[in-house]
Amino acid sequence: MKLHINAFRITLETNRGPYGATVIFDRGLNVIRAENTSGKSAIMNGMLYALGLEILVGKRGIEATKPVLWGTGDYGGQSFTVLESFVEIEIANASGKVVTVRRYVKGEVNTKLIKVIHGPVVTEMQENNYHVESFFVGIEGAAQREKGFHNFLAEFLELELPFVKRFKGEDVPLYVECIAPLMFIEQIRGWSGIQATLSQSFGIKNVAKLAVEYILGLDVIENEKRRIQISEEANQIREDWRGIWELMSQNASQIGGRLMNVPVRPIAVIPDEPWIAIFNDGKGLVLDHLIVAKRSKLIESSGGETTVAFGTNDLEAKLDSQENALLVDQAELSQLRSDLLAEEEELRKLKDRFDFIESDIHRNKDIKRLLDYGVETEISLIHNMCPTCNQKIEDSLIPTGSVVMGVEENINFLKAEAQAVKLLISSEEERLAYLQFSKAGKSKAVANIRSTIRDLRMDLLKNEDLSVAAIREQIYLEEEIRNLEQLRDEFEQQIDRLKDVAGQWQKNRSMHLELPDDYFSEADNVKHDALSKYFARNAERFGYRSTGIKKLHISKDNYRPVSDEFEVAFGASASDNIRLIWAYTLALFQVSSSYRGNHWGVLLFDEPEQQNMKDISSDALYTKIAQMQQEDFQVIIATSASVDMTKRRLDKLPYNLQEFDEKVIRPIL
Amino acid sequence: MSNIDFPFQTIDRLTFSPRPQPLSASLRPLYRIALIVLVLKTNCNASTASLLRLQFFNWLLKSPSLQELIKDKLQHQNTFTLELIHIDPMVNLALKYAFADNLISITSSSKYKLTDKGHEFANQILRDEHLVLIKEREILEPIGKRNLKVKLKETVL
Repeated sequence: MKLHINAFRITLETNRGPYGATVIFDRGLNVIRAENTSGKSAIMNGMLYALGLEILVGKRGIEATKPVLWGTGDYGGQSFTVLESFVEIEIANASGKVVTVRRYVKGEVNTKLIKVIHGPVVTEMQENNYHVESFFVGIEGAAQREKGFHNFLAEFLELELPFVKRFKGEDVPLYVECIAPLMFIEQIRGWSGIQATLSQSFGIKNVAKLAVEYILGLDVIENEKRRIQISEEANQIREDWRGIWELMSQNASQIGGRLMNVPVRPIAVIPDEPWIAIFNDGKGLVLDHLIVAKRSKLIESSGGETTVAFGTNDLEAKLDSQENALLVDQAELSQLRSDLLAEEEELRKLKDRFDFIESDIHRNKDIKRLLDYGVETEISLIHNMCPTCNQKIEDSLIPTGSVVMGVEENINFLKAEAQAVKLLISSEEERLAYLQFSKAGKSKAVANIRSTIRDLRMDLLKNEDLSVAAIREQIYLEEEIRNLEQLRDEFEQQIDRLKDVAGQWQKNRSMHLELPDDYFSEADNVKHDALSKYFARNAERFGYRSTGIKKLHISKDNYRPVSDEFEVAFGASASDNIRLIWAYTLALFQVSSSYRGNHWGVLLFDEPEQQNMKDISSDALYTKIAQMQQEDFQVIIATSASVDMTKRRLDKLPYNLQEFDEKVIRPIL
Repeated sequence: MSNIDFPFQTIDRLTFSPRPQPLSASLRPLYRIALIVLVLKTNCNASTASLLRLQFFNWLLKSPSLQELIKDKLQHQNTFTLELIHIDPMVNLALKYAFADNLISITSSSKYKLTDKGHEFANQILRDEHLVLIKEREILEPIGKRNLKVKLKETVL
């Protein structure tokens, strides 16, 4: 067992002197018997409070404890007022190490502060010089920060809490507050259902399910985590790939070419070497060929600049053709500009549409959940019936003129639309990128033609031996070749990176394949079957009658009791619900103990005989608990059943009875 | 668009059959009812509100710019003036349904009040593990039940 409660003590300083109560617990079955309103719950709630688990009572801070700990109480007809008070719980871990946890209820000491004394202060009855540490509770970070009490508790008890995802994205340990409701059944709310005191999600997805999975020690937690890790890694790879793809197509567009053989989304094996296709005068060219062509052009033109190679006619003809080219290029450039604006607008519209679809899908999913609640609350609208006249109405606030899709169908419709819009967006983005680079290339070409025209005009005017235009052309060519070569080197580096990423992708996909197809592992299935079996057997033993006991088993979806695929809880009779909670809570321990789960080995039952439970059922509960392995198990039951009844019930059973009679909290002599 | 020659000559008969129509979630009664119930529960004293107050919150949920404004203003004041408010007839319609389904009742001062059944529905939403309506709740919960006075020209919510 992970946790053993040695003892619990309440200490009050009152206007009538010191009051208090001490309870010592054994292994196995412990029974605290006292009359109603005697202060039993002060002890049970006090223990939860001492462990910082008061949220199980539904309140935070001292409000979770009984007023006798901070207000007034009475004993023997005399009432007292509490001036200062604290509770102490002495607990041991699996290796037998003992600490005492002290938390103030009233007084000067902050109630969010918890003192941990490294020694058995309560059972030893004297304060020795033990090492004392302070922790905080009930503040954000109590589960994770070094000085958080629940962080200490998890370490001390070696709880091995799994890290789980919160809705906001970060990983947190599964909080002890989420697990405790499966073991500590509080009196007022605890008996209204399984995990009834798990009243909030703590921002953790599927928290109720996770708590059961933790206690049973199922592999699914690990598998789920791994699944998430792999998919996160896959997203990272997709992003990297996309980044490289963008750089490569940028390279291609810079020289007016197109990237070939590289898909936008990652692939494990690149079948053909990526290359840049350059369209020169309507023909496709490889980059290397372009460089060769430019080089030979450079050689051809060298030497031409010193002799007057061009006559005036030649120069004029050249100027004429350049001026024509300028007109054409300028027209193309302005066309590109207006195309770009139009495409940008189109992309913005598509993105808006996509956002809207996403949020509409979200809302539709919400409606699906609301429908479930609508059934429970008996809202007649959800059956598309008018609540007033009971006639059929359309599921819409506006008249539609035709039949409206069901919510599920609507979600599928929206998903298909989202898919289509996403495709449009990515092709639009591609097109936009292409246009941008074409525009950049065109601008450069226009600037170049302009300077050539300027040079040709100068040549015509000066009529010198040296042709400025020819020199410019050479310089331009040299620079172009240099740029092309540099670009080719860069491109080759990108290919190497791309291959690296492809390798990562291959690894990631094979890890993805290795994940079990089934949600449950083999061992998980065994545990689930065992839980079903133990639960049904317990329920039968405790006298469960509501629905066919034969069909009673545990759902694989949420680990709740079902019969014929319907959740039994709460169609069953009130007393049968209590029996279900007994049966379930014990079954969790039984499975955990037989199949090495993470159950803490402690159960707290505050007043289990709810709803006028038949005596015979309660007898069966006590007997069952007493029969269980005592070495690794501790059950604490608080009851107000009569003295005689309790004596008879415990007859011949191993037990530890704490009899309080009238008042639990009394003067300390 | 280029003209398509539709082969009318070869077709004898055309039949049209109605297909179910998709509908935006915000036009589904249950969604709007749930929002009203949520607003009454988280943002209204005694779970009671006037129609105008409900309209205000409806608009708040719809308008990101108003959300920004409120977030900004709420840091230092509880009262502020709005030039204009969008009145949505869907809210009135949803209120009618919610009233008919006994989720809300109408008080003697013509305000809307959450019934026990309405409370139950709201609690189910707030307790939901999958955080149903979380986006809406993230907007409503920070405002809470503070005594918000939105002055609309001369009208006080």
